[in-house]
Amino acid sequence: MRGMSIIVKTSSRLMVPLILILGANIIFHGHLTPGGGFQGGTIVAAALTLYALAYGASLNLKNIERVEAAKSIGLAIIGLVALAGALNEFIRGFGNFMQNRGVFPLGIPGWIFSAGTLLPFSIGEGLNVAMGFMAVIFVYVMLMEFELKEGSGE
Amino acid sequence: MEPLFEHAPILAIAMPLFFAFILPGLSLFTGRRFWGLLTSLGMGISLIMSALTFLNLSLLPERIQLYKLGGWIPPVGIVLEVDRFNALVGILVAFSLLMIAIYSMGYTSRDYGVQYYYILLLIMGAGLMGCVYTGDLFNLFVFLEVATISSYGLIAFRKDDRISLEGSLKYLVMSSLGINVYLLALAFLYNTYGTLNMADLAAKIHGGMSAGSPLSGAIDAFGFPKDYSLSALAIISLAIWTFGIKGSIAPLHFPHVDAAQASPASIGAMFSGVLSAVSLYALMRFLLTLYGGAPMPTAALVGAFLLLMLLLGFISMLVGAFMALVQTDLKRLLAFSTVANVGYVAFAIGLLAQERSWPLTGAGLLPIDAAILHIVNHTIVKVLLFLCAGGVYLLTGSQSLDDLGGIGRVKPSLAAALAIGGLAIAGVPGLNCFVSKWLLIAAALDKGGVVNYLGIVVVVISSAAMLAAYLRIIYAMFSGIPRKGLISGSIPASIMAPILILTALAIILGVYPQAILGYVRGASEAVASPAYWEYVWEVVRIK
Amino acid sequence: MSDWIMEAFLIQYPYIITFAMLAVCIYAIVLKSNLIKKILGLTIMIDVVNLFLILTGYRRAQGPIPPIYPSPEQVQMVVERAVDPLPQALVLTAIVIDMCVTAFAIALVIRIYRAYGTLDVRKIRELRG
Repeated sequence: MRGMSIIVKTSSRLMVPLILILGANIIFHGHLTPGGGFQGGTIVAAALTLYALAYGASLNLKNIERVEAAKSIGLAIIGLVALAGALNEFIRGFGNFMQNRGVFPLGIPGWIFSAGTLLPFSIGEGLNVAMGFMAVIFVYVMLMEFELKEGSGE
Repeated sequence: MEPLFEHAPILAIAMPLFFAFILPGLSLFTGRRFWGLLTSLGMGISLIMSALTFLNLSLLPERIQLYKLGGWIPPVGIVLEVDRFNALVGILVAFSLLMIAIYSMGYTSRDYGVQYYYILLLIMGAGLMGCVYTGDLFNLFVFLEVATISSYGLIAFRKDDRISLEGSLKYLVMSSLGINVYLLALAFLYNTYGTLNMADLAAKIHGGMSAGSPLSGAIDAFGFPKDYSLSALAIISLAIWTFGIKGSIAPLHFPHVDAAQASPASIGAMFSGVLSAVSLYALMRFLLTLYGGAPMPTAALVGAFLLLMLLLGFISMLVGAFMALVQTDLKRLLAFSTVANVGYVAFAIGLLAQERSWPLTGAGLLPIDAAILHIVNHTIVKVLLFLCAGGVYLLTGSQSLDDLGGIGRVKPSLAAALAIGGLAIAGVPGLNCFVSKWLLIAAALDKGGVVNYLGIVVVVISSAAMLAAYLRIIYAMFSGIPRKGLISGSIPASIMAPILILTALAIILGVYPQAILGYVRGASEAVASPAYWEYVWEVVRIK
Repeated sequence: MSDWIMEAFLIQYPYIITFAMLAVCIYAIVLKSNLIKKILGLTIMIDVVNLFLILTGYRRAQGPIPPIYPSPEQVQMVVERAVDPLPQALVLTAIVIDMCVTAFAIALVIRIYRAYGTLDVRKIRELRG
């Protein structure tokens, strides 16, 4: 896939870190402010997709599979943290699936490292959603490119 | 060992989901055989966990198992509430999922991009298990959406075959409409009762007890005085609409028939066998557990809705059987046969329309017995039939009934399994659906009344029509000459193994139904008896 | 008569909006023959149902405030006057689900257009038999 013009490339090179910081801010403060994993993840996806489209990534199925593999890291974080609540039953004698109260350190309300499972859930969710949205948009662009290439081959 | 029994319901849901989470990452390094084995392992763990739950509830004196997710007590938190009805449907769903997963290992050997098939299959399995085990209506919505969205992807899996895309889009539009109508019903429920927990709702509908939430008084959220029977009218009708579309009750069966024809055979088995069982389970929860035996202004309305179920059962039985007679596509014929069988279950539920004495005991439980037993039998046989249809596709390359000739000679075990499945679902004595139809007719005779006798006539007519439809298939298989050259005479073992297991189960349950009737009676007591709900209220102190 | 109209629009507006929009959306889904219009109708219908769900949590009686604590001492005021946060949690989930369905439906429509060459649902009828 071709990239875009030099104006788009330069401005995206300036904008992408700022958008990433905003998205990460929303993800990491998911338990303190409105927002959280899903909302921040979409913003991170927008930043990364802007970068990919401006500079021209090669969109084939192998790259989309790599994006999906990164997504599974985020989902695995969520799965492990949720299962840790159930595994706590064997260690400390109580605890259910996805339990927060007795299992994870709750910390001081208002700090970042507080509220037990909420922070890992937000991070995992943000990673998951960012990669998921990137995969969806890459699939759309791949379909469109395929059609343009076929159409222009007539 | 005790903690394992306690956590078994959530592990039955979470383990397939966890394997689906790690499979995209693992799929970069491993081959398709590993993906298939991992999927089967996930479904196998789910089966073991649901079997543990089933044993826990059947052998121990506890009648209900409550699992508080996250440690929050209901009605504040979401709970998994497993009673004997749940446990039976859960082990049925898990067993069918394992059969379909093993079958998929051999069936997808010629496709590309198979890791996505396995991921979506695991997610759909986790979604269906979650629908069965949950005790909270919004959780039911979420898991139903999870299962449905992955099924949209699974129908369209063979992208090169453009019928799959068309079927997936048609199913997507109708099914998404139906599920969002269910969200509207949840909005009405929350508006009127202030809670979405099944046990709490049953308590409020039956006794009007006030518990905590500001919406449990006499004024609803918009400032009007509450009209309980009007809300029951809205909620039950929307719920019947949703579960009618998902469970293919006529006249809402069109999306399901298109989807079952367009999808690969293993996914058709998921739709017609497992998803229809889960939809009927959810419909029975709504009509019988939540609203069964409600106090008087609502009870007349519920009776009217049960009569509507009776009518829908009539229409489904007739439409399913007679449309199945004229089909030329094998999977479409099987889908219409599902419509007819769901009609039997709807007829069984509708037999409770004039029931005045709740809780039901003894002979009053016969209709629910018949409904549950027919759900179990139909799921087993329908999954068997669809898996055989997939085997036919691998042999001949087409799904049309004109091309079925000669299979009886080339692969007699597949043809025998398809013949036994067809005879079983048509109700031949000695195979399992005969027992459930017998129970259904006995229940209708026990209730009496003109409408129920008319229903017996309709049951007999539609069974005869379906027998004719399946005899056409059997005749074509065993005595026809092959129209096209058979593609390959060999079928991998991972396809024949689930088919043979399901055939054996169909024969065993037909010859010796006492093995399962005790559990079915325990399940039907769980559906219609408020003693269970009192036990739940006592356990969680929400009274 | 004007009393009834005033009551209808000031108090019963959730029901009126929801059911009017539901009627329009179901008309679009069922009767329009272009696939894109069907999907637009589906998306709008899902949003309308979500809106109704949020509106059930709006407690108009005492001047509602958002369900966020301004400071730890004002818990009592938040408990009495805040809007109901439970339907908002339900709607968050429903919006995510809606987004997934719409994304998948659009990908399907693109592929159907490539396979069939038309977006008219009356011409895409190969599923029969």
